[in-house]
Amino acid sequence: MIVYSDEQILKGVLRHDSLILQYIYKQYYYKISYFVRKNQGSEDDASDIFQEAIIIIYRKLKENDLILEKSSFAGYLFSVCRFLWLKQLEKRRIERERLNDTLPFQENLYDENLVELVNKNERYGLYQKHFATLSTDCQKLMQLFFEKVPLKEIAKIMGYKSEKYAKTRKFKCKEILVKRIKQDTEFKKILEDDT
Amino acid sequence: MTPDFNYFDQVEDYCQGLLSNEAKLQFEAELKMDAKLRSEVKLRIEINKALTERDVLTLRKKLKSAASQQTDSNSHNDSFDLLTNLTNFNEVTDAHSFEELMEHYDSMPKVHVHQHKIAEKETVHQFYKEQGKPAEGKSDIDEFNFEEFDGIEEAILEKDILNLRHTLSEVAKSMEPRFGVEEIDDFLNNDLSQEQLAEFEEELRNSRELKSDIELHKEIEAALAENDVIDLRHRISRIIKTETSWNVSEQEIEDFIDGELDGDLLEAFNAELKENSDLLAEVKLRRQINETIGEADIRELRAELNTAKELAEESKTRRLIPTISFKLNSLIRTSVAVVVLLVAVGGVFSSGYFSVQNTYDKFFRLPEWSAERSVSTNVTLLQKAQHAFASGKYSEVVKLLDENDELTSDNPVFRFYAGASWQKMGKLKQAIADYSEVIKNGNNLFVEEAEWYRSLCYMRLGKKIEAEQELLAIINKEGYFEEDAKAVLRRLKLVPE
Repeated sequence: MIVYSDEQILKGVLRHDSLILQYIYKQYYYKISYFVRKNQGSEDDASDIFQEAIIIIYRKLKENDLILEKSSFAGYLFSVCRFLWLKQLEKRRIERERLNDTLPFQENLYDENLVELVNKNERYGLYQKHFATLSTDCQKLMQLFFEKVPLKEIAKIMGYKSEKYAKTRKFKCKEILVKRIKQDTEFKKILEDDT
Repeated sequence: MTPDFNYFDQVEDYCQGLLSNEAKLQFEAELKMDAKLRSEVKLRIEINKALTERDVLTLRKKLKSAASQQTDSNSHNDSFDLLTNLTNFNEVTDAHSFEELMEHYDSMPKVHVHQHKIAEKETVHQFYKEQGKPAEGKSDIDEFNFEEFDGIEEAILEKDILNLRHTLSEVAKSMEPRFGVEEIDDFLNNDLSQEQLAEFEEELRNSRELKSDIELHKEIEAALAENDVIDLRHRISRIIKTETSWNVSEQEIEDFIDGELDGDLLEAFNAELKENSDLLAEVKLRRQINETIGEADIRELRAELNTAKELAEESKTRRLIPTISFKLNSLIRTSVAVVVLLVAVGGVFSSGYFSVQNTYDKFFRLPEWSAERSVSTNVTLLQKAQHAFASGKYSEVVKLLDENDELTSDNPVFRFYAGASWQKMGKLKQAIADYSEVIKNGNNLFVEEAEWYRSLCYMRLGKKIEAEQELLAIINKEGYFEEDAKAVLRRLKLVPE
């Protein structure tokens, strides 16, 4: 079986390389799953944690903020997963003292930057989740706006009669999105945590 | 059953006690047998009782009158106007604990009183209460002696709550933000006019809510522009759904089961086995298969199979020669049987266990005919086709539907079972065509199944990419075939190209 170096793995994550992602999954997922299940989580929780940990590592890489000097990729991944799961346990009001630590982690990785990034990832993930629940029409329309496509062009692509209608429709879509986000209990929890 | 007497008159007479003895007996006999009649009688009796509750009717009338007089005397719409003027009523702001109230009143008013107590602490409530202080002198309402009416407190509290609701809804309306999504969006895109901008910025200086709304809008836009993160999330999710989670090869699993794994490999395998429940399940499954067949037999059989396979291949060449000896014929028959076994048994020890044929056979189950899922079909033709399908006459089903093309071509029920019939007959391309029609039609209950069977057809035809795409789509829909699709997809990945 091919063994990838940490550098290869990080580069692979940065370019969304399927082989590298599969490698990470096969190599480390079961350990994360074991840890989560040992700590009152389910298989679904484990896959969520694994997924979000990779996204966080990707965000770090994008910001040029990840240098594995004192840690290996595995160590970093496990530490992030553990941190994410601790956060979940806190939300579920489960005492962290009872944690069954089966993952090798590094406490020194838990700095302010990581906490901030994890929180940002949590919020962004929530917005993206709700965006995915909008109608295809709404999603497409909003994407075009975000890509700064001229209004006239948007109306043409979407088959709307006027630019004004395209704009009104976009507001409607955004209104639905904002409403759904605000009504989400997860969002309310995030707000509570921030205050 | 229709009763042999005038139903409603009889019920009314019975309730009023106006029936003769004979009629009453007959009615009561009917009553015992007819549940509907019993409930009708019960309802009538209750209505009659309600109508005879004169005290309650009088109370309602007086209350109505009291309420209208009070409204007239206080033209302003204060919250607890009735309540503040009641001399004989212990206002809930008195030092009564909630527990005391709970013991004192009936259930609904208890909740109201409790809510009242909570609400009175709120600023809004106090504000309206001050506004609603009673005017000098006594109002007409004092003339009533409420003590003589049981339950009057509840009724008044009801009015109180209604007022509170109204007030709160008015307050809520006044609290609605001045600027909505449209204005915030325009602000962020610099689309506001000078005047609007000045107004907006003024509000922004004073409103914390508007500030946080703007932050939220900015974050949403930034989040939705993250196409790369969204894409990465999809990829990871797809891997989790379709890949096996163990970090050992098929060979290592087999070696482990055979006891042929040692040293560091064995140590690593055991370490993973301890934590990886998926791997544990896989090892268990493979062990069970081995146990079913019998370990010793397999080793012997393996050697024989190899010989037989070679002979079978040799025989294929010889078949080109027209005269085949009896011995050779027999050998071919044996070889065919052996080759089947080779796939079924020998394959367990290699990736043949996950061969296309094996996977297809494992997962293909002929659908049962359930035409009731469609509402508009030609019944006679449907029955004929159903009968043929149930009798296993699949070519007849196809022929029948083909002959009635004008009725069946656009009908998803017929198309689906035509597809199933073709598939059962091994005509997979025709089956795919029919299933595709069902899927294209869209508005029917067979789409999910058609997708599943079409994926199996693709797989059997060796169209791995199409099969994978179809299976992934099925998995993403999280429907009935999700788990099967995952299993097939995993096996497909192990099938050699």
